Order: sequence, then structure tokens, then C-alpha cells
Amino acid sequence: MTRAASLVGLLGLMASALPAHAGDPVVDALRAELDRSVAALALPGSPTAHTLHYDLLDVQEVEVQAQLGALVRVLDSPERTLGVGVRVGSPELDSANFVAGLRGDGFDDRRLVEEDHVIGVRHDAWLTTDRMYRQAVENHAIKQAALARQASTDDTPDYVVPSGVVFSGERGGTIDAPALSEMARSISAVFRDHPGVIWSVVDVRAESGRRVVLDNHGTTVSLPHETVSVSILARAQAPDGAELTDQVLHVARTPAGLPSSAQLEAEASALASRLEAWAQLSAETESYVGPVLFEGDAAVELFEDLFLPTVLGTPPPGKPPRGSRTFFLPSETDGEGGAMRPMRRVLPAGYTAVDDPQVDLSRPSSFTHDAEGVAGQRVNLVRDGIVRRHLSTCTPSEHEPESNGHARGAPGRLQRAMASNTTVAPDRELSDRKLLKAALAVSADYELDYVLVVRRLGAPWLSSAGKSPFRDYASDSDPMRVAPAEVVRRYADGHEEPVRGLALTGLDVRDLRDIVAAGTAHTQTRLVFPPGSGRWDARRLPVTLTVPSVVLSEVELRPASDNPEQPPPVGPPVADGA
Amino acid sequence: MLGGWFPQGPRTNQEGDSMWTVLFLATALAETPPDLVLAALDAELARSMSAYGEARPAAPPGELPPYYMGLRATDRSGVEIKARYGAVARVDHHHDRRLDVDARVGSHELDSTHQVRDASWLDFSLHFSRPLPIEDDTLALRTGIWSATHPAVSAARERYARVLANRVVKVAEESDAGDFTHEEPVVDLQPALDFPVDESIWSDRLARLSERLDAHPLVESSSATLSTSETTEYIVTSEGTRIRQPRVWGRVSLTARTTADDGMRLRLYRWQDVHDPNAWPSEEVLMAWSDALRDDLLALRQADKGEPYTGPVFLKGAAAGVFIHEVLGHRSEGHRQKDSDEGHTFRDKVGETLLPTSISIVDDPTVEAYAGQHLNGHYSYDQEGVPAQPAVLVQDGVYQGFLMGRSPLPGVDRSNGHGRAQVGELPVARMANTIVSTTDPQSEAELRRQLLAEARAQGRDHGLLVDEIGGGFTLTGRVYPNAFNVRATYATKIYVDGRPDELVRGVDLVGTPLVALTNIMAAGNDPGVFNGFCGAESGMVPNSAVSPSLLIRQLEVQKKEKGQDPPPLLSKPGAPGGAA
Repeated sequence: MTRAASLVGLLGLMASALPAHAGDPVVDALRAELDRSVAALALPGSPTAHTLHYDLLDVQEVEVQAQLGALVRVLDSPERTLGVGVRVGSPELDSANFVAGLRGDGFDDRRLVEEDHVIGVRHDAWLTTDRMYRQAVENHAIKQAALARQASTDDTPDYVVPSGVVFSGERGGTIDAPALSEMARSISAVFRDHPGVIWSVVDVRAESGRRVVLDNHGTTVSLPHETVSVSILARAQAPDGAELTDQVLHVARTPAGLPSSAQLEAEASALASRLEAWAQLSAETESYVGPVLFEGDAAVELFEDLFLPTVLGTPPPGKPPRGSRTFFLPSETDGEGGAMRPMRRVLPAGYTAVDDPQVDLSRPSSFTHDAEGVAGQRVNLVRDGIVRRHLSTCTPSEHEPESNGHARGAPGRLQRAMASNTTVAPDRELSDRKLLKAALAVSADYELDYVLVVRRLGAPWLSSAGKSPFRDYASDSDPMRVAPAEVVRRYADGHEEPVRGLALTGLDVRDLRDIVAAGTAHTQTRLVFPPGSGRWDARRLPVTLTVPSVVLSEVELRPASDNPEQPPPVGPPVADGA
Repeated sequence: MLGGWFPQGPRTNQEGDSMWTVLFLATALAETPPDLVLAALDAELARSMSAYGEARPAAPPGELPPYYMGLRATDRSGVEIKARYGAVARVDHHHDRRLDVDARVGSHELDSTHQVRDASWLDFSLHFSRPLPIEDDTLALRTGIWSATHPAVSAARERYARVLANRVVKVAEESDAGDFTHEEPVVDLQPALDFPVDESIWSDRLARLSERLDAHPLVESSSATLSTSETTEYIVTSEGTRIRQPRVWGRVSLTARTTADDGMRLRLYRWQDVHDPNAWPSEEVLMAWSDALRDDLLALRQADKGEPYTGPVFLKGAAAGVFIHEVLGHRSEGHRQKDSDEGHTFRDKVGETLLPTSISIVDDPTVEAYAGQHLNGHYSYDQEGVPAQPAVLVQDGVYQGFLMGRSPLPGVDRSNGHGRAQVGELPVARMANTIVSTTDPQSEAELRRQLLAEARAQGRDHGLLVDEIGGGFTLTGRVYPNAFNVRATYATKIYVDGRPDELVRGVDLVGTPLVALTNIMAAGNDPGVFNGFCGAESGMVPNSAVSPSLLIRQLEVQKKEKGQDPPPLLSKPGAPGGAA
């Protein structure tokens, strides 16, 4: 038995002995409705539910936006959402993970009554379960028919029955919304002194409460749910009209885990000063081809964007075969299926990658149990640069027949595998000085006496839209192609020259094999869309990546072509001293 | 109320910048405490108009200054409390401020808002709405306003170029009316209004109401909801208009749903709108509504499905108001009369008799209440800053004219205060309080007698009585049928042979406007009020329809869409015989 599996067994045993959820009217009500539904929900001649999954998100939600020292938006409200998932048929072949047009797949959510009211809670669960059961029955029939038409099928079961853990963690505490408002005000007020910043916003979001997972296999898991993020976003405009946007983002489990307000104000001030200085630079007109050193946040974004999809092991949803009469597929199928088969190279020799949900439970990305109630397990994803394992859920794949506790996503959707705390490590970590030396050695091959350094991409609206800053910029004609927020030329003596107006061209996961040197590690928690989330309406998940700065041997950057608009005839009022 | 009619005529941007300085100073001196939102709007409007300057001779469209700019800031706050099954489901508070910018390039005669014919539906939006800080901070407010104005001017310049090109390549237009009326500027700064709500009392009350609504195993879902809003709207324009007008509104609503055995989803929704926090219905009244709504819903569940029908229809008061709203109201909106894609049903009917001579119709936003009920469509100024005015649509059966915003028509060069929009949209002519009156009111018994007589004359075994409708919609363009649909929710067959009346479910009233109007036979003595929100090009705006019952000689009934899911498989939790 592995260490992780032992831990799971121990936790399950210990928690089972506790009177978990005793006297919790909401959990009791959901359990009663779940048991009743599993026992009695049946349409004549149709399969019954082999799994009924209730997933309750019961949190206080706070959102604050501020600009220039004044609040723009404040939301402080409870949110109690019940996700319902029904799988009919058998674990070998069931209704889930198959998308046919706009029909439902047996998964949806509903906002529950806020009060701890047994009838109210059961009523909402009852209606949603009934609807999801019908959807699942129909989807099961369509899936069976589609599989019958397909020339080949695999024998991987559709579901792995979880072991039925009982666990009760402590729910998150109350969020001090006025304190977050004051923090947003004070940070945003920094921009009053920066007339070169034409637009800025500070966005503070926090959720605190619990997530409760129930199923008919004995799972009753109640987990703390806590996340807080501070986004400081600012924009300057160069005289040629180009808009320069950059962001500071901090994600923590609780407000206490954030930098102090004074530190955040200093970061906002530095961000503003950097943008103002950047806006005064002349834009580059020549393309660049040569080595690029991705360091800091940019390195994290590089690995998030190119590496993570290769280890997410939940199979993409099945679809009707070509030639069927289903023409429209929802966006849930977009961007999936990026997992790389095991035993293929994804990183240079000597590199390792692991993901461990329980490595540090104070992180917002950590958890004891996943959204299917399975204990989160450490997974050795990459050894010697070659993919060995995938992250998995109770929806298994050919390569991962069991869940390793990485089901993450919003309630009311099929839970897919997502990273938690991923660490990528090279076999040899160079000091900053040696890394620069190694990069300059490559530059010399291109007859350059400097190396181009990308520190941050700074295109947060792209990640909000589910766009990839690397993969989605393959051509000059892409209207959303943007220049990284912070690029410099670094010379052998260490001095730097800022560069404005160069944009990355498309990078591919294969480019990761061309990493020629790696430096010290940098850790950042980012908010990432879960796969198949539908993007716009999805709740982003905290994922912490620890990655080294890396030198890619050849990257092309071209002058950005974002067709900027003329600056207005008058500057912002702050510039006028209003 | 502060201020009054602005003594000067419309200003042009040739008047220079000094006036803006005067206005801004006047704001600071005259008001205590200073209204920082208004001051910020004044200051940024002045700065922008000054910066864009005057038009240079022969300047290309891309360099023209705006000849008009209007800033509309709307501060909205309120609460919504919803209860289901005896429990409070949610309590949501909201507060926001939005800025809408109307920048126009060109001239009153031809400007950037002019219709571009054969434009793609992808044609870019001309309108800009941005969030503003909800706190009174001058710099933050002014920066928010500043960031919205230049994109609006840039878009107007670009569109004006397209307007000019479109006129060159297309045939002559059907209308030679201009694009923007000249109006007197107004200054009227009314104080903001409060609409206090005791959330604790209402939470308990709504929980009790929702429990009552839910008190039957066959009621699948139900809710009782209280919604309130306090709005303060600011309108500041380059013509000198400066308006601050408040609006408060509240609604208590009840709804319940069930599913008939054949899968038809049935829902009843009843509500009362108030504009005074002391005017809410009592809990006793609301409890009685809950019982009635639940019982009516269950009766509908047992009712026969309606079948396609044509024959006489007796529309009860509020339902008749919605019928007039859909059939005549939308087609009387001024801007439609010069849009080449519109049907122009009434454009050339001014002076013609369309209705019985006993019937008149006026749309009057100045009316605050009718027969003790607040009217949703009341306001002092429309969203273009023009004072609300009554607009007579039909007088003694004769069609008189149109609802006008600031988009002129041939021979109609002034607004009558109906340029309306929701936050985030550009105003167009819209209804407010559409009021139908009759000089020959008939009793309900008499209308019922006439209904049966007409049914007999048409060889029908019944006429149709429509008590309640859930709304309606209409298509006014040229490509699709120029038709309406009034969504009946509670209708009864009245048999000519004296059989008991029979409830029917799943029927809609459909037809075409001219035929339907000319079939109006008589009106009742029982004016009913329908308070609602109407959606069209400029978004959802509050409005009211007031009408006596109307007897229509012939209308067509079509089947309403029907769900395909049977009732839930398991019994309702907590219901007798269901799960405990």
C-alpha cells in the first residue's frame, strides 16, 4: 500500500468514528432526500441511478471593487448552491461524460433556500433530482445508441465507485466584508497619484464556508471552503495609442494569508510606476528570434498554460459519432483532451513534476478530500521528463483506472481532474547568475549580446475569457494577441532595458522540451478555469504552481498589432489636478 | 424642488466654454450639501465639450466634435427578499451607479444615430454604459465619466461616416425627418427619495405566504417575493439640461407552478406594485391572494386544454390594457414610423377612425395613480430630459398621432416626453401609462350578454372570457408577420346554451393589429390596471396599461406551448403522503 493510500485509510477510519454532521439540518435533509431518491426514483423500463451525488457549496460570498479610493461594487451575501449529479445504468456503462447537443447530462445545480429549513432544502433537492434523473435516462439511451454505431470502443468503465468516506472538517469562518472594502479602497487610492494610469480597478473576492459531498455509496464529506483573492489591475496608454495592462494577483486561503494592506499598496504603486514608465518607451518595430528567459510569474503562466493540460486525466466527454444528427456541441467539450499519453516526453530529461493536494493545507489550493469525497493523493506525474501518471477522478481513464483524489470543479457538473499544488523541478537548478550566463550562451548563437526576459504576461482578461496566452496566439492576425506586460533585455553585466510592443507568437507544449536551462523556483497561486467549465460562468479554482525560471532556446516575438485607438483629447481628471 | 425651466434656448457649442464654468460654479454655490455626482457630470461634460472644440470647416467625420452630448447617471439600490416553502430563500441587496453617454456627431438634421439601411445585425452598438463609483468621491466619479466619453465620441464619429456613405449608395429615404429635435433645456433638481423596508418583518411575512402557497401536494414550486428599488437619475446635457429625478418602486409578488398530467407547465403570477412604502397590501390581503392563487392553479391543472378558436372574446380590464399595449401602443412609437424595416401600421392613419367613437386612448406619464393604484409609467422627465407630457393616440375613435422621443417625424418636430430607456440603452419612443377610456361604459352583465349574442350570431357554442394574462409581445417589422400574442393565463368558456362556465388552460390570443382594433365592439365600466415592465429596443422600462374591459367581435386563439415532462415521479417532501 502506498503512503497516500495509507493516509486515506487512516483518515477515513478516524473520521468515521466521529459523529460527523450530527444535528446538521441541511445535511440531514439532503441525506434523507438522497436516500429516498435512490430507493424509489425509477421510470418504468428505464435504468435506475447507480450513483446519486449531492454537492453542497454553502458559503459567504464577498466581492468588492474599488477605483481611485471609492467603492464601485460591494456584494456580501450567503450562497447555498446544491449540485446534483445522477448517473444511471451501471458503473461499466452509464449516462455520464457524454454530450449530445444541448440535452442535459444529469448534472445541474440549484440555489437552495438560505434558511436551515428541512422541507425547503428537501424540496429544492427533490425537484432537481427528478429533473436530473430524467436527463440521465435520456442521455444514457443516446450514449448507448451512439456507442453501438461506433466502429471501436474501449473497455474502460465509466465510473469507479468511491469507498464511501465519512469526514467532517471545520467550516471556514466569517469574512469581514467591511475590512475587505477598506482594503480595496486603500489600495485603489494609490492610483490617484499616478496620472499616467488611465484606468485601474482593485477587485477583492472572498468565499468562506463549507462544501459537503454526499452520495449513495456512503460518502459524507464536509470540507472547509475558503478562498480570497486580490487583483490589482491597471492600464496606461502610450502616445501611439497602445494600451498597456498589468496585474498584481494574490490568492490565499483567508485574508490573514494575504500580504498586508501596506504591502499591497506598495505593489500597486510599483505597478503604476512601471506602467507609466513603460508607456513612455518607443514600441519595438523589429521581430525578435532567439532565447527567452521566462521568470517569475511568466514562468508560472507558461507551465500553467502548456504543461498542466497534459496531466489532466479525465477523458473528454464522448460525442455522437460523425454523421449523427447532432450538430451543436456545447462549449463543455472545448479545450479538453489535452492529456499526453504516459511514457511520452513532455519536459527535458531529469525533470520531475508532482501534484500533492495535501502538501500544505494552509494553501487555498490544498484539500484533504476532493469534490467526489475521495482523499487527495500525491501523484508523481513526470519523472525524468516523461509523463508517468495523470490526475484522476471517479470517472476513470484507460491510464488511470482509479481516482487519485483530484476531482475539482463547481457543483452541478461532472467533476473533472484538476491540479492542486503542482511542483515542477529540474535536475539542476542554476543560480540567477549562472542562468543568465547559460541564456547568453544561447543568445550568442543568434549573434545577440543580451537575452530577452519575460517576467509577466499581464493579460488577465484573457484568462477571464478562458483564453490561453500562449496557445491561442499562433498568428499575427489574432486580434487579441497582446504583448507581455513586462519584457526586458538583460545584458551580461546584469543591467536591463525595458522593451515595449513585442508579442509572443504561438508556443506549443513541445516547446517545453526545448528548455535549455532552469533557475530558482518561484511559487504562485493562480485562479484557473476547470476543464469543461463553460468558462464564462465558471468559478475559477486556485492552483499553486512551483516552477523554475526557464530558458527556451528559440522563441519568436513580433511587433504587436492591436490596432490601438487614438488617445482622448484630454487626459483623465487626475492629470488635471481635479 | 430646486431650479426650474431653463430660461435660455438651446445652446450650441459656438457659445464657448464660459457657460460651463458658470454652471459648475452655480452647482457649488446653490446646493447644500453639494451633490458630487451632479458636480462631476457638470465638470466632465464641460471639459469634454471644451476639449473637442468647434467644428472646423470641411473637417472629415473622424475629426468632428460632438454637436450634442448627454450624460445620464443612474444610482440604483434596493433589496429583494424571496421565500419558498416556508423558508427565506434569499435576501439580496444591490447598489450600483451606471453612466450612459449619448454623443452625437453631425447636426440635428442628420447625425450619427441615423439609420444605416441594410446594416448587418452585427453593426456595432453606438451606446456606452459604464459603472461609476457608488461612493461620492469627486476624482473617482470624474475619472469614470471621463473614461466613458471619448469612446462614445469616437464611435459616433465612425458611425457618422457610415451614415454619410449609406446615404450616398442607397435610394432616397422614405422619411426626410431630421434626427434630433430641438428642445428647451430644463433644470430641475428634485431631492432623492427613500423606500424603507423592514426586512425582518417582510422575511417572516413572505415565509408565511410561501408556506400557504405551497400547501398542496400538487403545487410543485412556489415563491413569495418582495422587491424594492430607490433610483436617482441625473441627466446633464450640452444643451443646458440638468435634471435630478428620483423614483421609488416596490413589488410584492406571488407565484406557483404545477404540471398537468399531460405535461403542460402551468404557472400563475400575481403582484402589486407600489410607489409608497406605506401602500403595501396587508398580510391578510396577501394571505387571501395566496389561497386564491393556489386554488386557481389547481383548478387550471384540472381544466381542459384549450383548442384553436376564432370568435368573440371578452377581455377583462387589465387584460384589455395589455391587448391595447401590444396591438396599438408599440405601433404608435414615433421612431418606428421612419425606420425602413418597420411595418408603419399607423403611420398614415392619422385622422382615420380605427375604434368605436366612444373610445379614446392617451399615454400620459404625468398620471401618478389611477383609482387608488400607483402607475408604473409615471415620471417627471424622460431619459432624454424632456418633460413628461400626455400624448393622445386616439380621440373619439380617431387616430391622432404618435409617442415621441427626440427622433422627429415629418411634421412632428418636438418630443412629447416619451424618449425612454433602461440603464445601458439609448432612448427611443416608448409607452408610459397607456390609458383607455370610454364614453359608453357597459356593465359586465351587459358585455357578457353581448358576448353570447355575438357567439350565437357567429355560429359558436361559446365565447371566451379572459380574466388574466401574463403579458404579451408583438412583431412590428416587415419581414415577419405583423402580429401580436397576448399570453392568457386564466380564461373561461362561456356557453351560449347556459351550461356552466368552463375553465380552459393553454391558450394565447393572436392576431394582426388593424383587424383586431376594428373588431372592438364595446367597453366596460370597470377600468383595470396592469403594472409591468415592457421590453423593446431601449430595454425594459416600467409602464402601465389602464383599460376598461373590451369586447372583441373576433379574435383567434392558438395553443400555448406545452412542456413534455410529466409531474415529478416522487411525491413532494413534507406533503401528506409524501416524505416526512
